[in-house]
Amino acid sequence: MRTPKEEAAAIHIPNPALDEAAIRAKVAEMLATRRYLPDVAHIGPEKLRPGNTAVAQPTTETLNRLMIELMAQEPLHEKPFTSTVPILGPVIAAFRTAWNGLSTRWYVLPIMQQQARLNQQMLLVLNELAQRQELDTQRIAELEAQLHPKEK
Amino acid sequence: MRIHQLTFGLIPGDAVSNSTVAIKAQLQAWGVETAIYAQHVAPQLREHALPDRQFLPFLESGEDLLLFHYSIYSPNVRLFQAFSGRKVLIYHNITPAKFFTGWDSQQAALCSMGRNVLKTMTRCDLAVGDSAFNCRELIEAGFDPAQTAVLPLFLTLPEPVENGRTTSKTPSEKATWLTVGRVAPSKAIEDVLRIFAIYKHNINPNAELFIVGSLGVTAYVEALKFLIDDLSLANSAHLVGLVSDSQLEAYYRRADLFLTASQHEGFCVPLLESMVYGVPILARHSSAIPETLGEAGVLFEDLGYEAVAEMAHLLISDPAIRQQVIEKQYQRVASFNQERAAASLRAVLHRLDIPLGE
Repeated sequence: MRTPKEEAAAIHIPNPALDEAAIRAKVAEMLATRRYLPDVAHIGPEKLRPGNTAVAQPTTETLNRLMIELMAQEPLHEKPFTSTVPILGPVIAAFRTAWNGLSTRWYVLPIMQQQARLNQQMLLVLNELAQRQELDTQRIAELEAQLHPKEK
Repeated sequence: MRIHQLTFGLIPGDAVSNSTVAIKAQLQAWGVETAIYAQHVAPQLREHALPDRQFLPFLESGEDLLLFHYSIYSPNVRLFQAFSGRKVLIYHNITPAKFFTGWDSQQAALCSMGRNVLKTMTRCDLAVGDSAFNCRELIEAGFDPAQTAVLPLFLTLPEPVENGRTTSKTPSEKATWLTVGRVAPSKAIEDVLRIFAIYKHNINPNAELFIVGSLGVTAYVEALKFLIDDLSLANSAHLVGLVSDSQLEAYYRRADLFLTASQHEGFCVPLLESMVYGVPILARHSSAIPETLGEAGVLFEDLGYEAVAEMAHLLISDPAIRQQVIEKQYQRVASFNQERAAASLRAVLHRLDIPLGE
């Protein structure tokens, strides 16, 4: 348990024109005289309590790992034509590239872009659902604990 | 010789985006051929940037210079790595992934990847950060200290507003608290709410708090809504969301106090905006915040909610303290201007022997 003076020492006034010690003394005086309600550190969702932030639950960790694996997938992109045929290989690849440009690229490219956008959107939706599910689970547990404190 | 700028996105109201556009204007004023390329461009900013794929033809332009703005992982990192000309990394900082773990796995993954990839980007001619704090992170990531420098953000701040904000308030008058920035776990909005709850329930029952900024981390925002209810602040703490520039100005003009409990900032532009509008600042002593504040504002080094709430009360109600803090803030913000940023950019380009007009 810290004294009011120790609590007030956390205040730092960088402006040298102001008397830091006097301001800290004022804060300490108010801390000593005022009676504070409520005890805010122990109110609210568990994940938002001091020292409890950024704690992933086991189920969430699994979901997080799967989500990161999904994100790490190579995005959709066009693959260049290649050929392993000696000497004529570059000519074959160039012909296939040219033919693809004329015959199918104009049709396939917008579909690829549409699919890439859809994939990205799906990731966002999945991510949000997973996070909401975790929060709801925690909230239900907290409310149940409040309703049935003796069973805890 | 051209100077290209490559960035993840151009987003309205975003400090990095604004700075990128301002650098383009400055380079054009110096007679340099220049363009911005981005992965995502908001419709209203399309006149300023091209899609990043249009940068592909310049990958082999050995005479050109590339300025790469890095604030989050993006596939266009590969373009930076593949570019054969001279290149400058402009590091705007990436929030450590730990802040998003358990809240937003996608953001956590992007931040984690972003910081890991940073270590692979050391092969560049110069790496600059928009604060000394960011430069230190570059050096920790493996960049040569001799090849790093500070390049301040190009900020378009309004002229300081002296509109009588020095007036103090008694506990019976309505007091307005403001916090601005993306509502994300790293900003510790829960601490802002708890400090405000102490103030509201024990010192000034007429107080209200506005939390302005994008509400993108939905699980975190939902948890904050629960906290607001549990702290009995439903009618006085408002999660406003993203607002227009004119609305943001109105919030600053109305505020009696700016509070941030953020645990990670690479620079923190809202501090400068608060200075401009004469709003006294109470901020957590973390990351780049003390550097941005200089001798302005008031800091708290660790968290006793009651002590911080009492300091907030002094900043709102004690006329002498309030006036001194606001005056120092006006002095501080005067040192952040486009001329200084332009001079720093010129110095950076001079180090690379880039010819510039007057």
